[in-house]
Amino acid sequence: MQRYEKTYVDVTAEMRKDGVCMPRQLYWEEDSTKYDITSVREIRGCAAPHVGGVGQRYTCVINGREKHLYLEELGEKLRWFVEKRIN
Amino acid sequence: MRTILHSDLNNFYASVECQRRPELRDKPVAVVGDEEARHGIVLAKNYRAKAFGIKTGMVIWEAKQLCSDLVTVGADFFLYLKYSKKVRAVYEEYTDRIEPFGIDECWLDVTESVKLFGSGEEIANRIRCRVRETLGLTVSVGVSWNKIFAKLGSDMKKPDAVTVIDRENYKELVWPLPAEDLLYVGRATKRKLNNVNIKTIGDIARADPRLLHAKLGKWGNYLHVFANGLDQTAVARLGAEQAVKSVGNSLTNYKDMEDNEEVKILLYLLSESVVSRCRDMGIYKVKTVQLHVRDSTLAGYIRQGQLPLPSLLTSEIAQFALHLFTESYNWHAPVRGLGVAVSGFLGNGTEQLSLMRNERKYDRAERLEKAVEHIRKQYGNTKIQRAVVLKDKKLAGTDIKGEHVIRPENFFGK
Repeated sequence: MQRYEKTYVDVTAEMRKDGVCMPRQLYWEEDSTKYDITSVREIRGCAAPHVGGVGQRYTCVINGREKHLYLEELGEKLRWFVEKRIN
Repeated sequence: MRTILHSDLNNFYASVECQRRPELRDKPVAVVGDEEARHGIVLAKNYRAKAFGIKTGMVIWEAKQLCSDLVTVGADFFLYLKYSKKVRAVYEEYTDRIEPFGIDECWLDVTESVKLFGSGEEIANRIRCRVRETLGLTVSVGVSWNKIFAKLGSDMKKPDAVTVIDRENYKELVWPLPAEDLLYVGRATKRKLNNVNIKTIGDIARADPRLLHAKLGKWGNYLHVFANGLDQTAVARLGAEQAVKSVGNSLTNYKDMEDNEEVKILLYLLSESVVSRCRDMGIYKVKTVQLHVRDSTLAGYIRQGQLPLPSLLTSEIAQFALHLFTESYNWHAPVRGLGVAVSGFLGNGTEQLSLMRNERKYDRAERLEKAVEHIRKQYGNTKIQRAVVLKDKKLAGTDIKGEHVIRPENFFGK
C-alpha cells in the first residue's frame, strides 16, 4: 500500500484584496528548489485523505502537473502542507 | 408539510482523532478525559472499540480490561469545537434554520430549500457527502416531517447513512422501538410506562392520552404527541437570539470526585464561567441558582433555590451551589459531573438596595471580579485564577467558558 507523510512546506503567497490567499511559489526542502505555481485550478474545503487534517485544498499546477496543496487552518496558525509519498 | 433533518456526527470525538491521525484508523480508539489517570473516563470511542463492548462513561481501566490494545487519546475540546463549526458551515450551505443540540447534533429545517436542492433525502445525501469530503467525518441523517422522528431516524442507520421516516413507513420504523428511545423518556419515565405495560413508542402512540397524563402529567401529553408524529416544534433560525431564560454550564469531570473539596473546585469553575457569560449578556444580578448532579452510576438530579439576595458574584453563587450540594448529596457514590445554572435575571437598576447586605462590600467584590475577567480576556483564561481552583492543576487548565457549547435547556426552548 502506498504510504504518505504530512509534510509542511514554505510557500510564497499573495493575499488578494478579495480575501483569497493565492500560493505563488513552493519551496521543496528535499532538493532545495523553489517551484513556481503556474496556476490554481480549484480551491475547496477538503480533508486530506491520506495524512489527516482538514483545510482548503488548492489544486495547483506545478511543472505542468496537478498537485494538491493544503492550507490548514486549525489552531492559531495557518500552515501549508502536502501529502508526500513515501517509498 | 415540513422537511426536517437531524444530522448526527458519528462517534464525533473519536472520528476527529482518527481523521487527523490516520495511523489510528484501524485500531480500537477511545477518547478519554485524562489519559494518564487510571480513573479517567471514556468520552467517545470508535467502532472498533465499540466492538469490544467499550461504552461511553466507562473508566479507562474497565475499558482496558475489555480490550488490552485499546489506544487512549486525551480529549481536545478546542479542536472538536473547530470541527463542529466547520460541519455547521456545510449545513449553512443548505439552510439558515439550524438548531444545534450539543456539539455533534443539529436539526435542520430544509422545507424552503427543497426547491433549490431536491428532496429532503437528496439534501441529506448531499450533506453526508460534503461532510465526508471536506472533513473526513461521517454523519448519519434522519429525514422526516418533525424533529422527533428526524432524530430517531438519524439513530437507525450508522455510520454515513440516511434514513427517511415518512407518513407511509413511520408505524413500521418508529413504533416498534422501545419507549426509552423517544426524546425525554429517561429511566424514571420508562419505569412508569412499563408499569402500565407501555413498552414501545407504538404503545405510547396508541395509549389513551388521559392515562399518560395521569401517569406523567403534561409530559404524558407531550410524549403522546411525539409518538404520533404530531410535534410542531420549530427548528430555531440560525442567528436568531434565543430568548434566554437561564444561563448554565455543566462539565463531566475528567475524573470522579470523591469529596466536597473536589466538588467545590468544579463548582467555582462552573460558577465563574456562568457569571462571566451573564456579564457578557448584560445581566445585572440573578435570583435563582440551579445545581445538576450526576454520580458515577450516571444517575442524576437537580436542586434549585433562591439566593438570599440577588447577586452576580462568583463566590456567592458557587457557595450557594455548594450549599445545595451538601444539603442534598449523601456520597453514596463518587460524583462524575456537575452543572450550575442561574435564572431570575435582573437588569441594572431594577432592584431595591437591601439593608441586609453591605453594598459597598458587594461593589468592591464585583469590581475585583470584573478586573480579573478583564485580565483574562486580555491575556488568557489561565493567567489569573482562584486559589481554590489551583488545587487541581488539570481542571485549572480548563477553559469552561471558551469550551462552552450551547445545549438547549429544553427541547421546547422554554
